[in-house]
Amino acid sequence: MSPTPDDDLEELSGQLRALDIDPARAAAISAAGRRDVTRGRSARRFLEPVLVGLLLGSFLAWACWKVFF
Amino acid sequence: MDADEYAWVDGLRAGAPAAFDAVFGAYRRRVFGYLVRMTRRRDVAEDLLQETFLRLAQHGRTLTAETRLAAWLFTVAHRLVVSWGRAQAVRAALAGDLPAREPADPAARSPADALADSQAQAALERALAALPDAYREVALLVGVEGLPPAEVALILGQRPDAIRQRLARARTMLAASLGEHAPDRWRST
Repeated sequence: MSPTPDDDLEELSGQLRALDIDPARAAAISAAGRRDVTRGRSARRFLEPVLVGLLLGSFLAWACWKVFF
Repeated sequence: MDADEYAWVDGLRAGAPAAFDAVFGAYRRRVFGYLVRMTRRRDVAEDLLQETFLRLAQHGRTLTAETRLAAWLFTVAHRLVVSWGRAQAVRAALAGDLPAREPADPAARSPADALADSQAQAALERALAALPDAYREVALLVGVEGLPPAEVALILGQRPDAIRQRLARARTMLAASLGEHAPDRWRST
């Protein structure tokens, strides 16, 4: 069976050097991830859309009031 | 999916920090390599890597038991690269006629190129960097990361046959760029 383009490209992948992030940055990401994984989505990420929705809703209500009354 | 990966996904769904550490250890070099070679900026790649893994931590509880972590992580990384590219394009458009602060140097070496151990490795990094983004991305995900083309199609939101075409085209362009550094088999076909 003749090699496919992905077989050919895999042959090259062994020649590429593996890159890694700076150890201090890796430790910081790891610490932040360990903290977040126990908490799940933060309250801020939930509250932000609620606050924006309330703000937008009250603006639209005010605009309707001004136009119709 | 191997047994380790099932255990890591279960751990993430349960909010276990050890599972996050295991996934970060297993995938961080792969995702970082993809991000460096896509953005050609080490600082940007570090920021996007952080965002990718923090999203994994934040969404760990919502993963399904069958989630394939490689596909999940590369999907997020791909979307972050696309968003970063768009932001760069907008910034360039807003800059208008102002002279560039750092003029682009076509001969400048990419971060990966600068770390190359040999001439062949440097030639390969340069050839990859010279590929258009769409072809480089497919070459990296299929050729370097070993993801099946069907999975890459899902990650990139493309049809599998489009991925196959891009692969073939990427291979042709790489062979032309690599010249004498191309594998013998490539030159004989």
